[in-house]
Amino acid sequence: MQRLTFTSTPATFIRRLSKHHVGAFVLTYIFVILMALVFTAGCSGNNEHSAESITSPEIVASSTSTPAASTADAGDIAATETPPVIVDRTFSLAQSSVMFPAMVPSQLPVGSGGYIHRWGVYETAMTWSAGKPELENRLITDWEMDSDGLGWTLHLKKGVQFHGGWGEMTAEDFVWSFEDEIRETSIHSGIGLARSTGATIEAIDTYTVSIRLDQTSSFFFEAFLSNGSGAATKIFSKARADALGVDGAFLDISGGSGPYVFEKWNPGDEVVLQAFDGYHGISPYVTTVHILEIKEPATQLAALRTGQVDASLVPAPLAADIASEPHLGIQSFGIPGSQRLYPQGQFCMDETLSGTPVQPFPRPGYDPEKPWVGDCESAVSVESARKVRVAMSMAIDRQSIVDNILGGFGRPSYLPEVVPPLLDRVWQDRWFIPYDIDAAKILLDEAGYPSGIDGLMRITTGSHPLEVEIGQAVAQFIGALGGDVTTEVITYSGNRPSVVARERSDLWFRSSGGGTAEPPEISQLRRNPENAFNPGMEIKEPLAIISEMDSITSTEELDEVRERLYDSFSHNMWIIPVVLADQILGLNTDKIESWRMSSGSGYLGDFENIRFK
Amino acid sequence: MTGALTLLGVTFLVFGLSRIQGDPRSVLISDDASIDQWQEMGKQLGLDQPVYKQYMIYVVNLVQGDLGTSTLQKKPVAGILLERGWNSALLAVTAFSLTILIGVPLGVLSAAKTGGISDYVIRMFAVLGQALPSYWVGLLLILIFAVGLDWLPAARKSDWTSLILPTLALGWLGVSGQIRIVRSSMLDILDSEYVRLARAKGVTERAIIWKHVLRNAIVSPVTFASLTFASMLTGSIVVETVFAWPGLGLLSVNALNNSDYTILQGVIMLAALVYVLFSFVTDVVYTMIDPRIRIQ
Repeated sequence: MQRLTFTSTPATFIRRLSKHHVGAFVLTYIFVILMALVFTAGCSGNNEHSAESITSPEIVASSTSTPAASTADAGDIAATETPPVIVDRTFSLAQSSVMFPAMVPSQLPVGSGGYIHRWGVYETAMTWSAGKPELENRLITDWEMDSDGLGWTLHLKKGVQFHGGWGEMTAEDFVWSFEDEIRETSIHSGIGLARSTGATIEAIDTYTVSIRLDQTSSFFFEAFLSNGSGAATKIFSKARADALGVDGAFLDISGGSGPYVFEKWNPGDEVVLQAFDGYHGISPYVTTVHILEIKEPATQLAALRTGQVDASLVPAPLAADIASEPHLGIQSFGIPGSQRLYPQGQFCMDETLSGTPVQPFPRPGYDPEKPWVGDCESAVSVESARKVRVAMSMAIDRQSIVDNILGGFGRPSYLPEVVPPLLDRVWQDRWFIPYDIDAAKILLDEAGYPSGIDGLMRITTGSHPLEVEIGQAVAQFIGALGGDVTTEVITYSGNRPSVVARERSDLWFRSSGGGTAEPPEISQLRRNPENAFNPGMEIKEPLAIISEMDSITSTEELDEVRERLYDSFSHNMWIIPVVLADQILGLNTDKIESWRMSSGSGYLGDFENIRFK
Repeated sequence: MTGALTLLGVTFLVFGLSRIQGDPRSVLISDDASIDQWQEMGKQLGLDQPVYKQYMIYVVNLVQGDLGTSTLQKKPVAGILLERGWNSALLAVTAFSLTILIGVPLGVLSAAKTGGISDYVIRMFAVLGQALPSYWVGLLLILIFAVGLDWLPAARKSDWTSLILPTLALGWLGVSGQIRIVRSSMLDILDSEYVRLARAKGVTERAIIWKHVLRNAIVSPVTFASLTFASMLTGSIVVETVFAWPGLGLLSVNALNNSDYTILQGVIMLAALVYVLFSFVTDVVYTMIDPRIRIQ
C-alpha cells in the first residue's frame, strides 16, 4: 500500500490524497458538511435561540391599550399616547425542577404546593410584603380576631375572578379549599397543625368566613393564611372541582386567581405563565414567564451567560465569577437554607404530647456505640450523650465552612432552623458556639469517649448544590476529635422512609432549601411522635415548651418563652446547627432592573415584582 | 422465546428494584402528615398488598398493555413515554446517523492505513471518544459553542440547532466504538488468504477494501450499531440531563428523584423491549449479510 508523505507540496499532497485515499476523501467530505452545519447554525441561530429564550418582543400600541401596560409602574413604561413601542416583557428562569401539577388542595405535594402560590397563579388570604417582613392583605380586605382568641373572621375581597372563567371567588370557595385540604386522606402540608388545633371553617355570608380553633395557636394564622409556608391555604374554585371532579381537577391547570395564568405545565420540562387579564390587583409588568427545567447547574449558568434565560440560581463558589461578568449580576433572595446535623436515635417518648401511646414503629433503643444517644432511663447517660453532642457541635468550624465552601455567601448557624428575620430579632450572645477542639475533647473525655467517636453520617441531597461538600466537611471536623466518621450520600427521598419508620440512630446531615417565614417552632413540632416525619428526636422537653407557646398571643410573651426554648436547644444540642446558606440568584442585568421578592419563602417567585430596564 | 423469557425476567427485576429505590409516599406526603395518613396513602397506592400480589397485578396489566398510571402525575405512563420517547428518538436518530456516517468510513480508513498517520489520528479520536465522560464532553461543547462562540443554544429542545450539541456529545461515543470495531474486524479479514489472492490477481485496493473486506467484516459492526441505536433510543441519562433534553433519560432521572416508580418501570420495560426487538432485527440482518448464518 502506498503511504502519504509530507515531502510534497500541498497541491501534490491533496492530489495524491484524492487519488489514493478514498476514506480520507469521505472523511473530509463529512467533516466539511458537519462544520458547515455548525457554522450555518452559528450564523442563523445566533441570538435566535434566545427566542425560546425567550425574548419574543411584544408590540404595545400604547401603554393604555392593555391592562398590563396601563398598570405598570410609572416610569418603567411610557404612559403617554405615543407611537407603538416594542416592549420585551418576557422573562425566563432556569430551575432544577418544575415539579408537576396536582391541582386539588388535598392532593398537592409539598413542592408543587409551594410553587403554585409563589409563581403567582394561586393566592392566599395574605402575603408577605416584598422587601419587608410584614403581612399584607391579598384575597381579603380585613380580618379580626374573635374575642376569645380562638378564631378569626375574614372579610373577602369582592370581584376576585378565577382563571378559566370559573367565576368570582366567594366564601364558598374559601370554605371548600380549606375543608378539602384537611380532609381525611389529604396529604397537605398543614394537616398536622390543622388537626391538632381542631380547625374548622364556616361561611358567614358570601364574602365573610369564620375560622375557629378549639385551642389557641400562635402558629395557625401565619401558617394557613399567609403565603410563607407550604401549609398556606390556596384558594381554589369550588365550581371548577364540582364540574371537573377530583380526577379532572387534578390535571386541570385553569384554576387560581393570581396575576398569572398557567399556559403550559410540562412536568420535567417547562412551565409557561401568562399575565391574567382579569386580575383583581395590579396587573403584572412582566407578561410572560418561562420557567425552564435545567437540572445541571453548569448548564443553568451557561444558559444564563448566553442569554437563553434571564435568571438562574448560582452555586456559591461561582457567584463571584458571575458577578464579575459585564451583563450579569447576583442577588441573595428569600431566606437562607438551613444546614444541620441530626444526631438520630433520641427516642425518649412513650406517648405523644396528647397522651397517645407511640405507635406503630419500634424505635432503636439505647446503644453505647451511638454515644450521642443517651439511655432515657438514666440521667447520667443522658448527660453523657448531651456532652457528646455539644462536643460534636464545638468541633465544627462553621466560619471555615462559610468562607471556604460557601464562598462567604452564608453565615454560621447556632440555633436549629431559626432563620432571619426572627433570628436577628431574638438573638442572644450566649447561644454562640465556639469552634474549640480542646474544649470538645474535654467534654468527650468526661462523657467516657476520650478517643473520639465513630459513626456513620448520611448526607441527603436535593436541596442545596453544596450540601455534600458541607456534610463531608462536618464529618471531617467531627472525625478530628479522634474517631472515624464515615459518610454515605443518599437522596432525601431515598432516605425518608427510614426517617418515617424511626429505624435509624446514625448521624444525618440535612440541608433545607431556603427557609420560610413560619416560626421554627412549627418545624420543631414535627418532632412530635404523632407525625410521619421525625428525624430521630422525640423528646418531651422542647415539645412541652412549644405547646406552652401555642397558647400565647402576645409577641413579647412569645419571645420570652422562645428564649427558654432556644436556651434548651443550645444546652442540649438535640439538633446541631451548622450554617445558613444564602440562596444566590444570577440575573441578566442588561435586562432586569430589579426583582423584589417577599421575605416569606425560599421559593423563587413574585414575578409580578420584576422590572426591566 | 428467548426474548419473551428475557422480558419476563426484566419484569421481575424492574419490580424488585422499584420497590427498593424508595417509597413514593416520601415525596407525596408532607412532613406534618400523621402516621395514619402515611398508611392510608399506602393503601391507596396498593403498597399494603403482599409484594407477590403487587407483582402479579403488575405483570397482568403489562401484558394487557397497561403500563400503569404515574404515581405523582396521575397520567397514563404509556402516554408520558410516548411523548418523551419521541424526543429521545429524535436525538437517537441524529446521533446514530453520525455514528454510521463517520464511524464506518473512519474505521475503514484506519484499517486500510494501519500504522499510518491517519490511523494514529483516528485511533486517538476513538480512544478519546470512549475515554472522555459524556457529561464532560457535553459541558465542554456547551462552553465552546454556546458560551464561547454563541453559535448554538446551551440547552433544551427548541429549533434544529438545539439538536447539534447533544448529538455530538451522544454521537462521539458511538462513533468511537464503531471506528474501533470496524477497524478490528477489517484487520482480521485483511490478513486472510483470499485478500492476498485478490491482491495477487491485481484487484484494485479500493475494490478489495469496500467489496471484499468490509462486506465480510460487517457482522460485528452491525451488532454494535444495533445495540448502540437501542441504547440511544431508550434515552441517554447523562446527555439528556446535561442538555436538559426532555427525553426518556431525563424522565428517568426525575422519576428516580421523585420515587415515581411506575414511570421508572415503564422506562425500563420499554428499554428491555427495544433491546429484545433490536436483537431480533439484528439476527434477521445477519442472514441477509451472510447467508451461511441462516444455513447453520
